Amino acid sequence: MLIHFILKDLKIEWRSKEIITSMFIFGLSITLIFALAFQVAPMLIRTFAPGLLWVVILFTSVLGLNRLFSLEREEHAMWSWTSAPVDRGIVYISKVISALFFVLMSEILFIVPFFIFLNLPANFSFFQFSLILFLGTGAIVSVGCLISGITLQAGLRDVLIPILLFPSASPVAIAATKCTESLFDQKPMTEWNFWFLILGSFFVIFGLFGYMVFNRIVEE
Amino acid sequence: MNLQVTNLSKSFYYSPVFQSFSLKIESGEKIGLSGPNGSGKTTLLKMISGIMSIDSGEIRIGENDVNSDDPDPRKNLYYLGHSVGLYPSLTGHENLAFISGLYGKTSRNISDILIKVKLGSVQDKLVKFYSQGMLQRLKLATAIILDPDILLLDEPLAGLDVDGIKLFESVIVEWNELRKTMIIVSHDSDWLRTNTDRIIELKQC
Amino acid sequence: MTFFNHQNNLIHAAIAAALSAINIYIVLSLEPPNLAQGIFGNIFYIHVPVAWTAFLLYLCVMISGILFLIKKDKVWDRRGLAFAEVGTIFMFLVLTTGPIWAKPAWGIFWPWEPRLTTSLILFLIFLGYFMLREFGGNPEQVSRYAAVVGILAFLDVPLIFLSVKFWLPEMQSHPQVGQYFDSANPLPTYLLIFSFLSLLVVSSLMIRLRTNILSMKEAN
Repeated sequence: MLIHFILKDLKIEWRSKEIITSMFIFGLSITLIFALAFQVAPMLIRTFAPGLLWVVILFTSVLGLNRLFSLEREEHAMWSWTSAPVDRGIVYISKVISALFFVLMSEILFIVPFFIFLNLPANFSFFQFSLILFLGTGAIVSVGCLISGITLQAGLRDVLIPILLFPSASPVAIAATKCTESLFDQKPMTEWNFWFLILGSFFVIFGLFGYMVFNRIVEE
Repeated sequence: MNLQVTNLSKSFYYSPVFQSFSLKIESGEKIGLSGPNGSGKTTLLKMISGIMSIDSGEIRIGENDVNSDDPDPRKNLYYLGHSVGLYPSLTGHENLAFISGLYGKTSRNISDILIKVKLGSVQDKLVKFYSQGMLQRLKLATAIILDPDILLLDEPLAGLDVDGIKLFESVIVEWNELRKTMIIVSHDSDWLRTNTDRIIELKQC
Repeated sequence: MTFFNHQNNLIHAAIAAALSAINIYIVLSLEPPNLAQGIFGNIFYIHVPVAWTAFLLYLCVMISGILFLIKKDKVWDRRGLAFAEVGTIFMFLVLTTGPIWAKPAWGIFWPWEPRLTTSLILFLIFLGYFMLREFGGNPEQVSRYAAVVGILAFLDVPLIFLSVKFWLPEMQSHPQVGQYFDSANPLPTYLLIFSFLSLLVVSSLMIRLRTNILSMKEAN
């Protein structure tokens, strides 16, 4: 059943490519603005780069989540599964996995321009960097999918998603920035595995919570 | 499979649509639901199908409570609404395959059923390009493939041409012979009188 | 106002007024621990109990949300909203008394201290909560959404606190707090407890009044 929902989202995105494309272009645009804004003090870019990266990821995630859940609103398509004998918590998990995939794909696309435009060296472990991106993005989309589900049928949903998501995801922003900063400074993982734990805890706590309450929030 | 609604209450913006509403439908009955706009016909069907929550009361299909967290009771019913209820960016065939997968049904005979409802030539077209009549036929095809015991039909003939109406009526006759329970919403009281066992008139609260 | 027509409510209001007056008198007349801070040093006896009360009220929002989702009884929705409103008023007081105390104590208006930062983030989440309540649509649906956001907000608290605490380790020390406490003099502890209890009386009155208004509004 989970695969069924994920394949549906992937099929729609494969056809239109609108989620990944829009996130990539938006991420690129924000990167450009940062590069221009920091030209007054280029030596500070390296210091701020970890934080800037996660600002870009957070903003592009909002775009992606909004679009991913809009697919369910169009023509009341979600009625096909809200009236079906389906555990709606599985739908939430499928959305987290789909969102994680789409955001990671867009990150792969705008990470390279991010490093090039901000003139950042890339002398760190790519495996550890991938882990941070995976866990940080997973933590963002776990709470993001819950909030998108809440605002799915709400008015002003385009505004409500970032308003609720950004403060809720502040531990993710802090922890992911700390992990990235430590990685860029080439510190051993043992020095920053506490932040990894924060990201993992966030992912698990909100993933479980979302699974438990999604049933109640998708009903009209 | 019989359907029992007990003391159902539902409000929108603090205005009650249903207050302690009760209804019993025996297995195999064909019920017509009529009433003025805003009387709650679509709301009732959506609550029975699980799309909409209820404020208080109970809806049971056989022994099972429809509005609990258990999705199982919904496997024996299908709601054919007047909204599209399908993914515009998937084809007719893909939508049917997706929905039948949710109900654990095989997708082997989807093409045959789409040909039966005269959508064979457009089954690989995206649903967003379907006309209103084609969408109704696609929803009919969904109901045929799912083959549930309880059918909730909200304005099933809306947007259909003469052939479409004949097709739908013939399918309803088949369902009747199979003793399926049906609740049909329509503004056409004459049609309901001819095609249902009894009519329930909803009034605005 | 019919709420104050009942004798019990009048007595509650009188006790709340009396305790508040005593509290303010004590705070204003007590000798501050540090002459350099002047009377602002005594803000401690308001700021800390107000913060405790605010967090307790937000915990009550979470509990009300859980009970509303389980029992589907509107009483818990009204209580949750009342707790959220009064809690946010108290949290606003935390965010205003905090800088008033911080400036003379630490020389800056906003130290990124863990508890104050957690308060700010929680305050922002609840501003989103009120936007959801106002613009989320059908009140019956919004009640469920608000319950979930109320639970989400408090679930986030330990993660926010931990991440902020270890984000800026240099902000952990509170040398100025130590000056209030002396093992030979239990008075500051008793004053804090008295202040907290009086705020509980005040906040409970506000909540009862608000719940009464909400139920009358719904009945009409």
